[in-house]
Amino acid sequence: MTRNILWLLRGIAVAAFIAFAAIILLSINPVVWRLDGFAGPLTALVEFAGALRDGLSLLVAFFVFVAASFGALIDNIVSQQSFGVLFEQYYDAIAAYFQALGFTLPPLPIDLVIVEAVVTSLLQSVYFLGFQILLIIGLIAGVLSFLRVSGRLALLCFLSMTGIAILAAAGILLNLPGGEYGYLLAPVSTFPMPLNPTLWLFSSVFIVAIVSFLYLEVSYQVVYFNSLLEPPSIREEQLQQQLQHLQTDAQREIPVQSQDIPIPKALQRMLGSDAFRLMRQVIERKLLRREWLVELKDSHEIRRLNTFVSRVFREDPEAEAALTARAASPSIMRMTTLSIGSSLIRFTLVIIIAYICINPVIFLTLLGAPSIIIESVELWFLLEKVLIFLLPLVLLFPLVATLIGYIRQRRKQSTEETTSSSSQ
Amino acid sequence: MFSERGRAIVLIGIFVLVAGFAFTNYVLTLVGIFLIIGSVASSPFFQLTMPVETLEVTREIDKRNIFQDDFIHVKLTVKNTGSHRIDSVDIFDVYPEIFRLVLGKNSIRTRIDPKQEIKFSYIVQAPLRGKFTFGPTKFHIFDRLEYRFEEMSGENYEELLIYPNVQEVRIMESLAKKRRLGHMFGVHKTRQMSLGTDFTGIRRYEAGDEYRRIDWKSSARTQKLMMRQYETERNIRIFVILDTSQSMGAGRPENSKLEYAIRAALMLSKTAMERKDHVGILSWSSKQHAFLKPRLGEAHYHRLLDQLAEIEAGGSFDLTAAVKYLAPRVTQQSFFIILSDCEANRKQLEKGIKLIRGYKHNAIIIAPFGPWFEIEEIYLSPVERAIGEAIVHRLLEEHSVLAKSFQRVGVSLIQVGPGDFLPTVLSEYLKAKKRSIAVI
Repeated sequence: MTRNILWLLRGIAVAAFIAFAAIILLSINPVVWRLDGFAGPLTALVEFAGALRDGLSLLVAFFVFVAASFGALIDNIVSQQSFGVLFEQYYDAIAAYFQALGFTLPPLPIDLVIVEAVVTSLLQSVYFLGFQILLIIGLIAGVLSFLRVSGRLALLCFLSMTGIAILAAAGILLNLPGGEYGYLLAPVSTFPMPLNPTLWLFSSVFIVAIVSFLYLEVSYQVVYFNSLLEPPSIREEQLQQQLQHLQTDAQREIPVQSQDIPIPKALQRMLGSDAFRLMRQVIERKLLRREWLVELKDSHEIRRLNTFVSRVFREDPEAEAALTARAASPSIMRMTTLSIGSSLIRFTLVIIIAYICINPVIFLTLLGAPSIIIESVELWFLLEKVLIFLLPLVLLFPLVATLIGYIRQRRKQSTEETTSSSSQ
Repeated sequence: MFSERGRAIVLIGIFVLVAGFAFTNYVLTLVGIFLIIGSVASSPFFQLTMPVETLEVTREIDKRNIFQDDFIHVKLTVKNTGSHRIDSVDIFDVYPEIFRLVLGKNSIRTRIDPKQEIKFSYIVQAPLRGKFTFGPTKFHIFDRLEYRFEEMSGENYEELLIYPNVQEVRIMESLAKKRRLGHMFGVHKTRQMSLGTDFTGIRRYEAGDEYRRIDWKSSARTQKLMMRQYETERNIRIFVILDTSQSMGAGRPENSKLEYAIRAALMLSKTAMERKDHVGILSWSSKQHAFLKPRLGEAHYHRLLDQLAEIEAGGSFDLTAAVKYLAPRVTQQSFFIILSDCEANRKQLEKGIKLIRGYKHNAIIIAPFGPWFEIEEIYLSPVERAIGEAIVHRLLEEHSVLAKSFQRVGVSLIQVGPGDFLPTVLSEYLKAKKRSIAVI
C-alpha cells in the first residue's frame, strides 16, 4: 500500500516536471537551440596569434587584446557605441601604458572588423551554449529528482529551467541579431498583465508562472510524503531482517580455541581443569584480543542480544511495534486529505496576494489613494509597482509569526512561573 | 526560523524578481512573487501550530542499574496533547555518546495528529561502567514544505548506573552451580597449625610447643620428642587500595589500567567473599572516592559494586594520605592489596608502604605496567617506537628501584600486563590465605 502510494506520488512529480519543462521550452524562441559559433572565433584567434610577433611582446599584446576586448564589450553594452571604435580606444590606452614600461607593442595587428566579429561570435556562442547547458542540467536534475525523491535536485531543476527563461529574457541586453526583444516568445515576454482577475488567471504569463511554481510545490509535497512514509517501511524491513539474522547467528557454534597458554597453578587449583578452560577463554577473550577472538566475542554478543530481545518481546507485547516504529507511521489517507486541503488554501492565498501585488491600482483605488498616485505613469507601466504591496505583505507575515511566537512564549513562561510558585 | 531550503527559496525568489524587473518581464516577476510569498505565507500558521506546551515525551528504560556490556531497551512515547497537528517532526533521543546502538534507531521522522501518541524504541549496549545520562529528546519541527523549522528540547533526563564487567564472576557462579559442592571446594582452608581439631600430621618438637600435644607413641618410637599437629579453618581480612589517579585511566577507556584494576578488585572480592574472607576497599587518588570496611555478605558485595561503578580516574595517587585515612578506620591486621601503577611520587609511595608496615599490616603491590596497556594495537613510527622504548626502560628502572625499596620492608611489587592482571591478583590472594596472613 505504502509503496503504491509512493509510486503514485512519483508519477505526479513526473507529470509536474514534464508540464514545467514543456511550458518553459515552449515559451522560448527555438532559435536559441544552436551549437555553431565556436569554430569561427577559434580560427580567428589562432590567426591573430600567428600574426603577432615573437617574444615577450606577443604575450603582452595578447593580454592587451583580451583586456581591450573585454572593456570594449562592456562599454558597448552600456553605452551602445560602436565596438570597433571602443576597442581601438581601449587598445591604444592600454598599449600606451605598456609602452611607457618599455615594451614595444605592434600597431593594432588585425582589422577591427575581424576583432568585432571574433568577440561577437564568441559572446553569441557562450550565450547560446548557456541554454543547452542549463537544459541538460535541468533535465538530468529533474529526472533524478523524482527517481531519488530529492528536494535539492528538484530545486536545481527549477533553477536551471528558470535560468533558461532568465537567459532568454536577458537577450534584450546583448543586442544580438534576432534577439532585440529577448528570446522569450511574445505572449510571455513583456505582454502587459490584464486587470480583470479571470483574464489574469487565464493569461499565458500567469499559466507559465503558476506551472513553474506548482512544479516546485508538488516536488516538495512528494518529498514530504516520501520522508514520512518510506523510512518507517524501510526501518521495519531492516529490523525484521536484523532479527532474523540475530536468531540464525545466535544458533551458530562458538569456535573452540586449541592453542594452549601457560596456566597459573593457583588458578588451576582453584577452579579445576574444566573450570579453568572456560575461565581461560573468558580472560583471553577480554584481554588478549586476537583475531579469532573477535569472532568468538561477536557470536557471544549476538547470542546475548538474541536472548535479550526475546525477553523484551516476551515481557512487553508492544516492544516489536515500538522497535520497528510501526506504531509511529502516519495514516496515509488522513495525511493525503489534509495535505490536499491545506495546499489548496495555500495556493489560493499565494495567488490572491500575487494578484494584489501585480495589480496595485485596483487595491490602491479601494484603499482611497490619491488620484495623482493612481493615475501616475509609473503605476501603469513600470514593473516595479509590484513592490508597493509586495514588500509590506512579505514583511507582514514574519512579523505576525514573531508576535504569535512571542505571545506563546510569554504564556508558557507565566504558566511555568505559576506552576513553580504553586508547588512551593 | 527559515530552514536552509526556505532561505534558498527566498533568495531565488528575490533573484528571479529582480531579473523580471531588469528585463521587464512579467513571467519572471510573477514567479519571483510566487516564490517569495510562498515561502513566507505559512509563517503565522506554522507559529500558531507550534507545540510549545503540548508535546509530551516520556522515556522508559527497562533497568536503571545494569552491568557493563549489558543491553538496554529504551522506549520513547511522544504525545501531542494540543489541538493542532504537527506536520513533520524529527524526534531525536540523545543517549550517552559512548554507548553502542545495536538495534532500532534513536530517531524518527513522523507526523503527529492532535491527541495522537507515537512510540518508538531502540536497544543500546553499555560498553563502559560509570554513571551515564540519557536525554534530552530533541525535536525539529518543520512545516510541510520544510521552509521553516523550530527546534525544541524535551528536558527529560534519565540516569543510569553501569556496574563494572562481572563476566568472570558470572562464569565462576555458573561453575559453582554446576559443581554443586562449590567451586572453592578443597582450597578454602587457611591452615592455622597447632590449633583446631583436624589432625594433619606429626613433627619434631620446637621450643615453646605445648606439652599436651606431645605424641608419646611416636616419641618413644623415634627416641625424639614429636608433636601432634592440628589445623583449623580460619578466614583472612583483605583490603584493596585502588589507585584512581589520572595515569591509571590512560589509554582506551575500556582497556585502561583502572578498568582492569576494578575488574580484578571485583573478581577478588567475589572470590574472597565466597570463601568467607572479609574484603574492604578504598579507592584513592589525591582524596578518597570510595571506602568500605572489610566485611562479607551479598549486601556488602552490592555496595562494593555501586561504589566501583562510579569511580573515575583523576588527580594523582597519594598512598601516604590514603594510609593515614585508613589508620583509624581499619585497625585490625589486614592484608593490603594495592592496585597501583606506581607512577606517583616515589617518596610518597615508600612512605605509605612503611606506614602500612608500621601499622602491622601486610601488603603487596600489583602494578599494571603502563606501556603494556596503553600502546596496544597502536601503530608506531620508528621515532615513536624509540621514544616508547625509552619510556619503557625508564619505567622499568623506576619500578625496579621501587621494588627493592619495598622489599626491604617485606612488601613485594609485581608488574602485570593485561594478560596476567586477574590471575596474579587471585594467585596472590590464595598465597596469602595459605600463609594465614591477616587472619580474623
